[in-house]
Amino acid sequence: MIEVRELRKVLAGRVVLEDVSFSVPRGSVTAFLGPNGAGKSTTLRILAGATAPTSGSVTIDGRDVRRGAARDLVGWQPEHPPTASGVRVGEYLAFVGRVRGVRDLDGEIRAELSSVGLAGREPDRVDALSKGERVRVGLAAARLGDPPVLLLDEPTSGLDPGQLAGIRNLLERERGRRTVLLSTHLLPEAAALCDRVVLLHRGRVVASGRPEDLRPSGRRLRVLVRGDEERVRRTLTEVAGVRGVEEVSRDERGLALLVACDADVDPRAPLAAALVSAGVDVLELGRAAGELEQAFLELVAAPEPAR
Amino acid sequence: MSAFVAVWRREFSLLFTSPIAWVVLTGHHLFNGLAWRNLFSAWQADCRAAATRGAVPALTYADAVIEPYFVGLAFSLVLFVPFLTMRSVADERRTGMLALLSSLPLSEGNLVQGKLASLASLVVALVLPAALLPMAVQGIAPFEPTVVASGVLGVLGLGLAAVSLGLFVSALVESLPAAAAGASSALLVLFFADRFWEPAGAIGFRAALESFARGAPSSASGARFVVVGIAFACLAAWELRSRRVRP
Repeated sequence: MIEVRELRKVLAGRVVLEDVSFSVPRGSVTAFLGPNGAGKSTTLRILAGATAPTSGSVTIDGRDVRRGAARDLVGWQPEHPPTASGVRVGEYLAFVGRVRGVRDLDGEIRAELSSVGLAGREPDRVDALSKGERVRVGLAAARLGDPPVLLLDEPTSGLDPGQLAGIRNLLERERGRRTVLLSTHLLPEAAALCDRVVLLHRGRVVASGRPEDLRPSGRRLRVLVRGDEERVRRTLTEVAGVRGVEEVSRDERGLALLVACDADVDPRAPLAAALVSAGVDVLELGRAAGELEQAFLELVAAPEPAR
Repeated sequence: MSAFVAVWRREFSLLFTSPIAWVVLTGHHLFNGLAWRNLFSAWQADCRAAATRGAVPALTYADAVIEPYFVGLAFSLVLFVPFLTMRSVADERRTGMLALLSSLPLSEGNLVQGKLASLASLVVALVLPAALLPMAVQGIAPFEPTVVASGVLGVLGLGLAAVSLGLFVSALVESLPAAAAGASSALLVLFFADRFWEPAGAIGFRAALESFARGAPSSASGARFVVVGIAFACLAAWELRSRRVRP
């Protein structure tokens, strides 16, 4: 659906994107990950047709974005939705809807505002909304007219946990219905929500694929046990493939440990067996959360490639 | 068509969300009301003086009042229009709205047409009420419908050329004061071009407007406003498009 090939963007003499290529399959939800300044917003702006690349090509459903041929396919929610002073939410959405040729304008505005948790807020001034509310108005505007592609720049920015869950549900419902490319800093969200991730760093794509394919160089397991700490540590480090053990917490529930292992082995079964044979009560044993986060940190910590 | 109408409606309502349009409307009508009062009082005094001498007034109503009034009305537009046009594009670029507009199914041509139409609507709101004054004194002054209609047409033509130029200048810059100052300077130069350099009368707005205000417009004078208006509208659309596609 979205094909990005050898994208390059130079802004004020600085290369902000270099040789960026990736594709987003139709109906998928893809996360665009990367630290601040990686070039995520610039790429989304190019995809939305708001700015042109220095070189490279972008097509959406085979249409050249640079020629403005894909404008009717795309709903873009910028990171900072524009706020002309005095404009009301209803007026702003009505304008976007009219340009997109929406027929039942009032009905669709009501439905979109309701879906982003802002039902009945049409009379409010956009510049008087909180940051999270403005982002949600931007999201409602991007969805108006039912464009087949949604480009969302930090759609969960500034949201409280309740609002975050609402937006997460909304995006989950889009899977298979629309093609969604969203940038986010929330790696657990990306791992839970998205079919694919594209990791951008220093203006280059450093990894892409399914979230489960992006594994850190090592595995981490979380173990909750009851027993003598010294014996637990000794038992764990003797299991093949275990690189190290780190204490996380100790309370009335027991001793929580993080066990770092080699990536190519799954030592859960031998670990459990070793602990049980050593007389240790194993309360929990499983993969530690945040593998995508760890992979992310490893990739962005890599030295800058020679240019 | 729906995109053009959407831009027109949005721009027109945006003009009135800030105090600028209200201030311009008030200032323009005050300026022209006072100008009218002074011109008309002076002409009446001249008439009374001539009557006591048993002579005819030196100037006709059309020459003494209508012509200078419409030239003043046009000059008022030259002064005020830059404050209306300065936000058109410069402010949208500053707030990021222009980037969002670029992502919508809306061509630069539609965008410029919609903006021009909304500004033109405001120019009509500035000119038509002011044009009622010469008609309002019917009975105590000669009725000159042809001269008034010609003057209104000339001022509207100049107003539309002015908003087109202002829109273009606004498309070039991001700062509102720069947009206003740039458009003001360009309009003043065009208005008084023949004062600075006589051969420039062929392009000056003032000379073209005077022919309208006298009730004898030439096709060349009308064409001047039309050409300037269309040229700057096309330049504004070209500038917006080239900024979007510029690598």
